Amino acid sequence: MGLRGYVLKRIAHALLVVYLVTTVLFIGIRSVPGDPAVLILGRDADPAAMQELRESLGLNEPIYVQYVRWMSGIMRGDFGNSLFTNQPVTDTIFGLVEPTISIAIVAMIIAIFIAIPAGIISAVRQYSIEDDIVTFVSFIGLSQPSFFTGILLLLIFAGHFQLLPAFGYNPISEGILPWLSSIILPATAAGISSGAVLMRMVRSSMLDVLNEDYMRTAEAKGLDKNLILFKHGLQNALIPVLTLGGLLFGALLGGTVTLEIVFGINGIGRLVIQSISRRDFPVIQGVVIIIAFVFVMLNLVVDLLYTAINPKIRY
Amino acid sequence: MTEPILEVKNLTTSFSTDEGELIAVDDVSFTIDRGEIFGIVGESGSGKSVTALSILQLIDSTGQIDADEILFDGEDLLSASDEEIRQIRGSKMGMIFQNPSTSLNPVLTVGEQIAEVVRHHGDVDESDSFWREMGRKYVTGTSTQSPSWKRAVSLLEKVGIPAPEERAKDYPHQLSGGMKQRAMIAQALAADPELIIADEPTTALDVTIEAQILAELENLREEFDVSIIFITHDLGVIREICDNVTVMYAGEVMEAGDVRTIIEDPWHPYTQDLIACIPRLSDDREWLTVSEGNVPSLVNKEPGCPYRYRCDYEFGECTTESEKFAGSSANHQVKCHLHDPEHDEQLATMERESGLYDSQSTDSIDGGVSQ
Amino acid sequence: MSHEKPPTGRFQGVVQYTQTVWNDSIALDRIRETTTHRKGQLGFLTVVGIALLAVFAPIVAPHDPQAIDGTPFIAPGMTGEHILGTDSYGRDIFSRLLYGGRISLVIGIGATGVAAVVGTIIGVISGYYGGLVDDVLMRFIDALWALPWLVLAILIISIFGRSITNVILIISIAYIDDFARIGRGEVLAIREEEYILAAKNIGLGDLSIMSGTVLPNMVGPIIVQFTIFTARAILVESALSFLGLGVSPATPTWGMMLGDGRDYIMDAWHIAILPGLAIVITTLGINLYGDALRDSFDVKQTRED
Repeated sequence: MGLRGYVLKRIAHALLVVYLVTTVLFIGIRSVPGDPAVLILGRDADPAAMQELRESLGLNEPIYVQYVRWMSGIMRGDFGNSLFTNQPVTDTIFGLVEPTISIAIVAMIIAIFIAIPAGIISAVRQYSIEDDIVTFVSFIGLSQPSFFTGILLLLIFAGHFQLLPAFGYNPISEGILPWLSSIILPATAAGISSGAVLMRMVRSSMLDVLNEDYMRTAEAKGLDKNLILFKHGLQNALIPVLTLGGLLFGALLGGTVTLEIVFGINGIGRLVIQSISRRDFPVIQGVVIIIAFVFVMLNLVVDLLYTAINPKIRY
Repeated sequence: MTEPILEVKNLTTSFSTDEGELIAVDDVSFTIDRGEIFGIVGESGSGKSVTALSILQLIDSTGQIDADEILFDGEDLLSASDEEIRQIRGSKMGMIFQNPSTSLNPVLTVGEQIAEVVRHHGDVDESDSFWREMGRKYVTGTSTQSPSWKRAVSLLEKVGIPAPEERAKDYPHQLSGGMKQRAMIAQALAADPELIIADEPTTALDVTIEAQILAELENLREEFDVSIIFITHDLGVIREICDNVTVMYAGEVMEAGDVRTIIEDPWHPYTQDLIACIPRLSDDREWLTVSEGNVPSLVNKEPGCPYRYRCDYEFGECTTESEKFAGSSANHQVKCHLHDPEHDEQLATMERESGLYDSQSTDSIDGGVSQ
Repeated sequence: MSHEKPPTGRFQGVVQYTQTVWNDSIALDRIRETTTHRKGQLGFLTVVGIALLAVFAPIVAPHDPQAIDGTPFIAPGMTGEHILGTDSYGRDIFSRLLYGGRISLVIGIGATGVAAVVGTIIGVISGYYGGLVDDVLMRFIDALWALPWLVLAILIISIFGRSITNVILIISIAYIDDFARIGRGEVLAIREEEYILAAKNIGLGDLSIMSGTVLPNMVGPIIVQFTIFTARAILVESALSFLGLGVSPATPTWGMMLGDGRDYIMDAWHIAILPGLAIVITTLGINLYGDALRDSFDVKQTRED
C-alpha cells in the first residue's frame, strides 16, 4: 500500500470521524425538545423576532435542506455568526485559540520532561526509595484535578511569593518571557496531571522491556549498562506508551479549559463556558467541531509517529 | 593437551523466593576442552540454562552464584570485577539464546546488532562511546561503509545468509526463524570468541532448519576453532553434534561422559529413560516410554537422589546423597547408588529382577504403566 | 489472567456452576490478597471511610448543607459549631463536603458502572462474533474514542441541561470505548481456548458460553479498570462542576465548592482548598486500591491494541 496510501487512508478515516461527529451534533441540536428559536430567545420573546430568527437559521426549510446547508457551510469553514456578538464564529474562535494552544503545548513539554526520566529511573531502580518517591508523587498527580493544582500554584507563586502574574495572558508577540510567565503556572498544573499518567505508563512499559530476552542478549554482548538502557530499551519502551497519546490529549484538553478559568485567561475554554450560559449555539457548534477535528488530527499524528518508531510497521 | 577453556568446579546457583531458597543448580562441575562441543541435556527446570547463565553471571539480582572456581581461559570469573566480566561477555564468550524472535532487538537492524559487538570488542578503529552509539542509533545510523558494518555483513555471509548486504539492513521481524538464529550465531561470533554458549538454539525451529543450524555450528567450530556449550533437552541432538555430555536433573548432574558411552551404555536410570524417549526410524517399539511422576520442588530441596520419585529402581539408599562413581570409560561418571561398588550385591539383585541392561525399553514401559 | 482449564461437565448447569465457583473463588482470593500489604490497606480504608461518611451524611452532618446559618468566612477550627469553617455565604463546609461526597461517589460509581456494562457487552459481542459485527462495532467505538469528555459535556449540557443523569451520561459515554476494548481483547485471547471449544461441542448456545465462560474470565481486568475509572470519573465530575457544567447548582459538589472558593483564594483559602483535598484524598484512595488490585490480578498497565 505504501506509506502515502496509509497516510491518505488514515486522513480519510479521520475526516469520516469528524463528519460523524458533525452529523451527530446536527441531529443532537435539532432534537432538542421545543423550538430552537424559543430556546435561544426565550419563551417571552417577540413573535416577529422569533420568526426572523427562524428565517435566518433556515428553520423553516425541510430538515434535509437544513442539513445540506449546514454541512456545506462547515466545509467552507463557515459556522455562522455568534448569536451574542454577531461576529463570525470562525473569527471568534481563531481570535482566542493562541492562549489555549500555548498552554497545551507547554504543558505537554513539561509532562514529557517529567515523565520520561522519572519513569525510567523508577523502573530501573524498581522498589528502591527513588521508585517509591516517584510512584507516590505520580499517584498524587493522578489523583489531583489539574484545576486544584493550578489553584495551589496560584496560591504559592502568585499569592505568597508574588513571583508570577495570577491572571491574564500575554500574547507571544509581546515577547517570549512575558508570554511564558503568563502561562507557566497553568501549563505546569496541566503538565503535572498528564505527566503523572505518562510516567506510570513509561514505568510499566520500561519494566516490561527490562524483562525482555533481547535486553539479556544485550547484556550477554557485554554492552555498557546505560547503552543497554537507552540504545536497546528506550525506543521499545516508548512504542506502547505512544499508543496512549490520544488519551493524554483528552486529559490535557479538559485540564487546559479548567485552568483558563482558574487563571482568568481568555481562551477557548472560557469562550465555551460563556457560550453555554448564553445559549450561543453557533459558537458551541463551531468549538465542538474544531476540537473534534484537532483531536482526530493529533491522533493521526500520533499514529504516524507510531509507524515511524516501530519498525514492525512499514508501508 | 593444552589447558581446558572452561573449568567449572562445584557450581551452585540459588534464588531467594517467597517460599524459600530455590536451588536451581546444585553442585555442578565440568571441564570443556578447546575446540570441544560440550552438551548439557535435561528437561525443563533441570538447571541447564541457569548453569550457562551462571558462567556469564547473567542471572537476575535475586540469584546467588557459588562455586569453588569457574576458570575461563585460566582466569577465575568468580573473582573478576563486574567490568572484567563485561569485557569477557560478547568478546571471549558469545551467547546464542533459545528464541531468536524475542532475543534479537526488534528496533535495531540485524547488521547493527552485530556491528555494535564488533565495535565494542573487536579491533576496528571506531568509537563505541555512549554518545557516539546513541548518535548512531537515533541520528545518523551506522554507515554501511564502516568497518564494523562490513564485518557484520561478512559474518552474516559466513553463517550462510544469502544476500547479506540486504539482510543486514533488515529488522529481525523481516527474517525467518532460521535466518534469525543464523544472525544470532553471527552476533555471537562477532568478536571472535573462544567459547560459545548455545542455549537450546534449535528448540524454536523446525526439524529441517534445526539440521542446517547444527551443521552450521559444526562448521564454525572447524573454521573459528571455537568451543561450544550446547544446551538442549534432546539427546538426539546431543548425539549429532557433541563430544561430551552432562545429563542434568533437578539442578544436579546425574551422569557425565563422552557421548558414545552415554548413548550406548547409560548407567543412570534417568539417562536410560531419556534415551528411551528418542524415536528411531528402525523402531519396532509400539510405544515411546513415558516416565511418570513429577520433578521434585527445587525450593527447600530434600536430600537424596532427586530422580527417586520417578525411578523404577528406587530403594532405601536413595534418600541419602549419592557420590559420583566411576563409570565404564575414562571420564564416565554416574551419580547413583545402584553403581556404588559397596552395593554390588544390591545391584546384582536389581539387575536380575529387572533385566537392567538387556531389555530396558520394554521394561521401562511396564514400569511406567504399572506406577 | 490465568487460563487454567476449568472442568467442563455434561450439562450446562453443571458447567456454569463449576465455572462460576472456580472463578469466583479466585477473584475473591485476589481481592482478599489486596489487603495484605500497605498500599491496599491504605486505599481500602480510605475508600471505605469516605463511603461510610457519604452514606451516613444525613446523620453525621451537623448542619443542613444549604442552610445559610453562620457567619461567612469562618476559618477552620475557629468555632466548634463549624469545625471546617463556613463558606462565603456562611454555610457549614463540613456538612457540604459530606453531601458533596455522595454526589462524587454516586456519579463515579454510576457512570463507570454504566460504561462497564455497556462497554463490556459491546466488546464481548465484537470479539466473540468477529467479522462484520466486529468491524461495525469497533468503528462505532473509534468514533466514541474521538470525543473527549469535554466535547461530550458541552454537547449534552448545552442541549439537555444540567442534571446528575446527564453528568453520568457524559462520563459513561466517554468511557464505554475503554471497557469495550478490554472486553474485546480478553475474548480474543480466550476465544480459541479448548474449554470454549469444549463448551461449543457439548452444544451450549452462544449466550450461555459468553455469560458462563467468557465473562468470568475477564473479571480481573474489568474490576481493575472499574476501580481506576471510578477515580477518573470523580475527577471529571469535579471538573464539570468546577466549570459550571455539572449537576444543578442547588446540590453541593466538591468541584462547585472549589469553583466558588476560587474567588476568595487569597483571603479565605480554606473555602477552595478543603473541597480540593476531599477530591484528592478520595481519588488517591481509589487509585491506590486500584493499583493494589492490579498487582494482585496481575493486569498489565499498557496494552498494544
